[in-house]
Amino acid sequence: MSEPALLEVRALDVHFSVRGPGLLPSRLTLRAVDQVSFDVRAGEVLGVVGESGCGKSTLSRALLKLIPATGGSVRLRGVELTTLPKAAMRPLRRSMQMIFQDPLASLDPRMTVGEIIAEPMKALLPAMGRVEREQRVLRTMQQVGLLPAQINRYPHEFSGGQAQRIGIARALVVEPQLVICDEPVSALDVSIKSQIINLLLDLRAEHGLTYIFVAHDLATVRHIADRVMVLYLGRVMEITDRDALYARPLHPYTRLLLSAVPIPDPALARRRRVAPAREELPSPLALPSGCAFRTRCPLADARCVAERPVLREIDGRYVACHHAEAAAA
Amino acid sequence: MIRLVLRRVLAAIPTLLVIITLSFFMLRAAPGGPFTEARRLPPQVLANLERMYHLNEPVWEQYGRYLTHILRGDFGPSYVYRSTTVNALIEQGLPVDLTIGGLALALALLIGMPLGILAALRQNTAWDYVSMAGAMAGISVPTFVVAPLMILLLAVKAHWLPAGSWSNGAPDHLVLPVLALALPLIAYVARIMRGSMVEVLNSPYIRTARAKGLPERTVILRHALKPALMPLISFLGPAVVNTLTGSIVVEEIFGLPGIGRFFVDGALNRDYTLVMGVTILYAMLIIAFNLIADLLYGVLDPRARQQ
Repeated sequence: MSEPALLEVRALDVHFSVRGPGLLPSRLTLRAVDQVSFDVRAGEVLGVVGESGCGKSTLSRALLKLIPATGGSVRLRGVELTTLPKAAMRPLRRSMQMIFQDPLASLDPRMTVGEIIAEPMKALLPAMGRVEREQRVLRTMQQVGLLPAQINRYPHEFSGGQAQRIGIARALVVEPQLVICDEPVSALDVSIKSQIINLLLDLRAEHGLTYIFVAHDLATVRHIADRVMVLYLGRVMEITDRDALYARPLHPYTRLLLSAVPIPDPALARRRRVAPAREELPSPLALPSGCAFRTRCPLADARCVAERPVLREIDGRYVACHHAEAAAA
Repeated sequence: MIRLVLRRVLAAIPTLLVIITLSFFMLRAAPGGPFTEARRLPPQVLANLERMYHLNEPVWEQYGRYLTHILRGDFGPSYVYRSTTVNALIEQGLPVDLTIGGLALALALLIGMPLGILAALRQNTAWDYVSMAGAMAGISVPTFVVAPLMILLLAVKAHWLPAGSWSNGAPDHLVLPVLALALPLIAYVARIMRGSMVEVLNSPYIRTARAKGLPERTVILRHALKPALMPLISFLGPAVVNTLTGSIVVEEIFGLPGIGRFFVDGALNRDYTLVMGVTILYAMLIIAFNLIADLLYGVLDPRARQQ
């Protein structure tokens, strides 16, 4: 904790105003990201997990200002991003790049691989000459496992895994410090998935990258993350070192997620005490009072209804649960 | 590319043959003939006329004769506009249609495209609502309402512009017909452009382009514009032909000597060769512009280039 964080996020809100039902709809507020705070240290991989609709993608886009935040603060190396004008934000995009979920759809079908990878340099490093740019495209392609001969191909000529390599090359070509990976492997086959994850780990070691790695399952995150942040309905439930999280989850929601991780050995699987979700996910338009998770939580009591638990530190971990001490003990 | 063009041109031959055959026999099946309608001719005169135009022969023979003439590019003599040929009528009328149609199309693209793009970029703002409501009005109000109104206001009352006639395509005579023809087109182009632009702007690769750190101008011009043009091109293929040929109402209102009038006159008077000639011309134009649209797809989208 001694070194200053690369990225500091404090009480970040991303709220959307949406139409309510009915003939004369009132505006409803969708709290996609609600009071989210966390740090990302230089060189680490922060995993972000949660069910679909928990605000993972919204959060990662808001960090890059692809979606405007409605409150709170995001600081990159101390520079506040949320209030930064578009033009001033542009040079900072060199330090923050993003890899997207659907690799093929994220690539402009009308550009060749070479053009796709070169374009960020044209925008962010305008002083760079054409020859140097081309060399760097080829070097980056090689780093992500693409062949130089593929430089003039179009995205639709590639498979999903290959397309994601193009996406990774495109993100890394400006040599960013922080790469936000928004479910980069969710759309890929299992075998390709591990190839891409290993590629991301190799690249991180080579370039000293920092990742925010978003996934919807704990199994994937386990391979890559140093720390894990668990989101539920736009709120942080728990932030913990990976090993601690998997060995002893403090938040009941984390336990629920862990129980969804498949266990290959059926004998072991049978021994697992499964705590099934008691109810469906509440609507993000009408969050429960107090703790957002209380409607599905086996530990919920009157306090959970009345009072929203704040994220607090217990044994160097951060948990938002009134009953966390009981789980820690 | 060349192979595609060749294949499509070859495929057009049977299409045209079907069109020619169908319209030939449908015309003959319609009651009456070119010389039976207006005033009763003495039987001897009628027989002479029919012999002159080979209308006394069996239909199959007439059909065969017509086909061989067409292969030579000869659409035959007009029955109603005596002493002139269909070819001459087309040569005379087509430039009028090409002039006002071409100008109207250019105007539609020049005004409609920016209008639609701006509406998409300022989605759900006053600009968007006003321009799209205006476009809806432009589509809904028919030309036969707009054109007389324009004549009334700009020509009859204000005396700014001539109310009609061709006068060899003098610019001031062109303004009103071109405007009347362009108005609904501008509206269609703007609406199509807005719709496709909104859709493209929501696509993942536009998000990627923004995440790359590209300036918004580059995102729009380099990544969004080309794919947003695709629906416009599908619309323009047939729309170009409609504009070139379907200006019948405008021609009629402004008294322009275009093909559309010949088509109507020909149909009313059972002028077999004239109607056939114009039909074949329209069919060829439609086939040609659809081919151009398909070729443009390939230019705009590498995925369409495959075969």
